[in-house]
Amino acid sequence: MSLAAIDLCYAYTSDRLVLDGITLSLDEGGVTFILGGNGSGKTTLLECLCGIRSPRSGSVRLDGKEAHRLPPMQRARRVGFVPQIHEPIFTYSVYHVVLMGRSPHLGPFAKPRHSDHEAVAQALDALDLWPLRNRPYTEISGGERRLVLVARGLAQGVRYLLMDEPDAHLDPLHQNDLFSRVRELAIQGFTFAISSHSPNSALTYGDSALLLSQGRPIAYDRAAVVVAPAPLAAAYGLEFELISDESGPRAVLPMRATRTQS
Amino acid sequence: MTATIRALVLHVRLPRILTAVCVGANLAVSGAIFQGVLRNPLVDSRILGVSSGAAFGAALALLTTHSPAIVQLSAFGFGLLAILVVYAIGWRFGSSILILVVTGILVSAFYNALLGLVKYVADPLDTLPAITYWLLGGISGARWESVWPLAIVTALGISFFLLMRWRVNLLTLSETEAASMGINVRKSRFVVLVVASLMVASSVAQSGIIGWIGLIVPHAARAIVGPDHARLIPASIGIGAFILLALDDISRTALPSEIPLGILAGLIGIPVFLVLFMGLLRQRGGWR
Repeated sequence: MSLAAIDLCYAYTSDRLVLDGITLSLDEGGVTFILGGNGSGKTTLLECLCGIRSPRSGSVRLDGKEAHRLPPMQRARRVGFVPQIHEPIFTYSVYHVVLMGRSPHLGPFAKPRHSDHEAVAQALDALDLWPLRNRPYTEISGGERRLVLVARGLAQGVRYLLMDEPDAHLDPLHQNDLFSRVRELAIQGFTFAISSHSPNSALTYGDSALLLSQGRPIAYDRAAVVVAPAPLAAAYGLEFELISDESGPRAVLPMRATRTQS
Repeated sequence: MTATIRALVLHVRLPRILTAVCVGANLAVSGAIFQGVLRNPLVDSRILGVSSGAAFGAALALLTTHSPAIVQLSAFGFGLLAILVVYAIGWRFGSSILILVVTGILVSAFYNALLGLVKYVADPLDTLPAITYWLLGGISGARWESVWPLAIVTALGISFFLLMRWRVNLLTLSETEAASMGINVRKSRFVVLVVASLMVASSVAQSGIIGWIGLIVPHAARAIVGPDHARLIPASIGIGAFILLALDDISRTALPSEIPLGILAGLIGIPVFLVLFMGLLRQRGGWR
């Protein structure tokens, strides 16, 4: 089992590369954070890893095969995606949202079978969401929604789950709830790639981290190595201070900087 | 039962009942599909220009002929042409929902201008009233020989959507999200919209313009069974068929002469829905 990007380049338009030479390997049971400023290519990278975008050059390999060339259904049974903005226009229940995760196992004319409903029940149970199953997805809290989408990934049967800024708009408690679940699932062998605007989340909950700036990799290593003043300054253009204690690095703090005219 | 009554029931009433059921089911289910797949509560079966196309086709045929078969065929053909034009243009620009809806509205407006032109040149004593009457909507002319194309399209379309009813849920998600679950939204959306358009075109060809069924019935069905298309699609079919049949019975019997169905549908149907369903819609309309 492996999911890796090798010298991956991607462009939406012919004149500008959005991703430029990304090499990344998601270790089984690991949590990899993807950090970088706005517009640095985090979401595009996740979508390439997911196999729904075809690289301009280089490749994304899922178990040795090019991800975007795999039959979509086959690919979707192995790699799942948790989008940043998931606002269904209809008030589907939590149960139905998770049930939609079964679609890679069903033909266009099939309806969910007993085994599909069992997979949904298991996924909801695994994340303690069973009591919410009949609530409209649009009416539960932001933290609960992220967990429901993780449950949908589990129901989908994937081993890799790619999450786009799951900690956005969550308070520290709910971020902790979400990432603790992620860590528990990682111990069970699930593999995560998580994009985030919070270097400290990577430090606290990640195994490794990739730091991007304008589509180029600035650093890719263990999270404690990447989340350090020098690479962060290179990526964000802002000085950071590292806070450590006897257990190692704990957090980075941006230094106050006066805006300079450039 | 006398032979006259028997003949009346078999050759006049039955085809008319079948037509009412087919038209009602078609307009309602295509409305539900258009609303869901185009992710917009304001659209109905007319949004992609199919109804306007069919209306123009019928009017054009009525200029030169009174043969119901030719009028129907022309209506169906121009209705179908509308969706093909919308997709031919939409596809060049990526066939996003926005592009499809805008193109649909413009194609619809273009057809309306053509319809105006036909009316303008039509003979005001003979042809113009025929066109106007046809556009008001009605199924009093239903006979077995004219019903079967509609019945076949309806049977195939309804079977298709009953089979697809679970998959349609996925087409209401964003393209990225559906793609991550292995679904090619643009392709599936195309197939689904073309089938729904065929159902609309065949209905309008038979019945003229009956406006609001495709808008309101899906909303009512959603308020009753919820937003899950696995239940919404059968519910829309049932409610649409029942309502159009009931309205046609009223249009046939309420006054000594028949009231055009399109008019009656508006006069009775809309107040009834406003009273019965607005509360339910607000509580649990199924939309975010």
